Amino acid sequence: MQNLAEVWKSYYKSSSSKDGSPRAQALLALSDVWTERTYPSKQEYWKYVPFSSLARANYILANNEKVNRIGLSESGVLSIEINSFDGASIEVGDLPKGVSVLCPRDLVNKEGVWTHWGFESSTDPFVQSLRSFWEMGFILVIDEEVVLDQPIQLTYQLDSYVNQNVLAPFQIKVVVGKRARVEWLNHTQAEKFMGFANTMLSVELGEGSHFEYCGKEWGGQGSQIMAHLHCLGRKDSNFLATDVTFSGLWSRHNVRSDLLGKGAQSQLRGVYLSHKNHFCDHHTEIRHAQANTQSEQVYKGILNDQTRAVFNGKVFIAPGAKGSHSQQLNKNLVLSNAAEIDTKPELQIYNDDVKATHGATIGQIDPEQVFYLQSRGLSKEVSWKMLSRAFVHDLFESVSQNQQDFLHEDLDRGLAEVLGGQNGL
Amino acid sequence: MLLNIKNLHASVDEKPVLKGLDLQVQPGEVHAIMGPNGSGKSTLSKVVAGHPDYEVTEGKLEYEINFKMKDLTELDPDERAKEGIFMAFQYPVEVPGVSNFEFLHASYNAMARHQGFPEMDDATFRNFLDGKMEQVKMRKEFLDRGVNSGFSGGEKKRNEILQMAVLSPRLAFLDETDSGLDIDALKVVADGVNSLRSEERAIVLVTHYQRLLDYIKPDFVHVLANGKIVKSGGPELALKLEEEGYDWIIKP
Repeated sequence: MQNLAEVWKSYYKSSSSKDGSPRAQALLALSDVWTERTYPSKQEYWKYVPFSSLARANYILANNEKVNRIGLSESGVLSIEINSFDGASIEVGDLPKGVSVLCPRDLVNKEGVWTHWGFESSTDPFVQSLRSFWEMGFILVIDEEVVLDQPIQLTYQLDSYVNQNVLAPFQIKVVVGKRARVEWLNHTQAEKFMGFANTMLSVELGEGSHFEYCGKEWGGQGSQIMAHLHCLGRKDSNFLATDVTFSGLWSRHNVRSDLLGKGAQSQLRGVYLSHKNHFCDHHTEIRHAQANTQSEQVYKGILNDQTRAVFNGKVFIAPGAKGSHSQQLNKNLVLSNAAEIDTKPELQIYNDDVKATHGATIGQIDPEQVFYLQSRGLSKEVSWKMLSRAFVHDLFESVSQNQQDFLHEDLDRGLAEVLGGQNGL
Repeated sequence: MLLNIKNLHASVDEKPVLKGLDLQVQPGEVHAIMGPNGSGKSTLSKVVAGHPDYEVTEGKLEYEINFKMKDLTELDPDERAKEGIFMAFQYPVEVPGVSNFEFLHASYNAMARHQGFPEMDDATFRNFLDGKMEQVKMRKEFLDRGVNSGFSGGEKKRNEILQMAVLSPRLAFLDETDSGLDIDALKVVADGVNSLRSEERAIVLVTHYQRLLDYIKPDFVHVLANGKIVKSGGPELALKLEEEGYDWIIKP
């Protein structure tokens, strides 16, 4: 048993002992960087993040002899099950036409495996560490013009690691060809998980392509989840992400959208529900690199007990990104006196020909609304639940039926848990 | 007796508003409570409905439940509602994000569970609502909008009467339901209320003007001034108030 930095360091060393390639040497160098720096709690980007639980815990690398699978299910859905985080290959079944899977092991001996991952420029230590766990993951390639009529469904099954301080890194890259269309349902199941998961979904969107992401994360008393969602959008591409987080002990989401081509758009929506002593943090970063790019962000949080939540929304509009639009809104419903939220918009705008707005609110349940509902025979608990649901309601109005079905029951259960009341109206 | 109020004192923010109010209501009766602004009219409705900002400091506030007079102050607002007390709000609250249908349905089923009659599923309840909506001339699209959200003043008031029709209360307080209504909307609301008059149900109209009483004929008219009922009579009292104002009663 070792702490996080030690696990990573010994992992790098064991890989380097297997081959003396430049890759292995670079891994080793990276491990030193991480170890020297230890935890990045002094940096603004990681402000508020309690690293002490990570630093104190002793971790082991995941090893449960389970397999990962990707393939078409009987109902014709492309499903991805991630059950193992120990570097095992992924079993590839039938795939829809125009979809292929590349496993990193197949790429190792080819030049530039990291180019495929595309993390070179990241200074995020968690991204860097993923880079060193390069074989835990795969690349999914969607050919040009391919339109998947059913959503791809991914499940991170972390609940099989109970009572173990497991380190679970995993990364998926999706390369979406020109004018292709993909809907992606992402389920992170970690209610019983006792460990640290570090996952990345990185999407590269070709010209005119469309990627619609919908994620739900269920954390628990001992779960610690670092989730990265990155998107590079070329000309006229469209990235939509709706993320619902039922925060466990420790949850951090880093969402980044690079609008690299003219007319690229991204829309990020998020709901986070957090209670008890849980920590729940969303950092978004949108980079408008080209003209006429558009971004919209709406994040809403419902917070109870002694929870600590953070929202930080960075928007960067480059000098050349004329005619760009950016909107950002963060709203929080705080149900207890002891809950805390730190919300911060961060706009950096380097040209005058833009429209950019931002707003943040922190509020409570309106007692007049509660009285109104109560005066119609609804109990206080039911009223609170209805009003909390109403608070996040608009975020789900425009999502597809698939996504509504994917989220509906979880949202009810999540609200009931956060409110500490009974389920069902 | 359905409602028995004796020497009722109530305060909001520790400021006394009701100062010894008496009112008795029997099933089937329609009462009108009139009075100048600031006399405590709205406070009376809110105290009966159980608004948490209003504190009863003295006197009796009793309501008949299972043939026994029960102290209302012991019941939460939702418990009072489930026992058949309804207040039509002067300013109905907007609840965006909760659809009118979801709200009415949840509310109806909460009553049903409590009173021991069968709950309705979505389809049955929609059918049941059809007739009620016609009664108050509301278009069906209102069901799928947020509760009172973006409704005009008249639409909000009609929505209150719709809720009353759906929940079928034993005692309804209509708090300034006529305020802000044009004559056509007033007729619709009055027709709705009249169709809900029954032997078992008592209605208390709280109003500033006599206008509403042209359309809903009360059995009793009371004048509320400075937190007390200062005069009671039949419908003719309302007409006299319309002609002569409140001064002749209120002057010491």
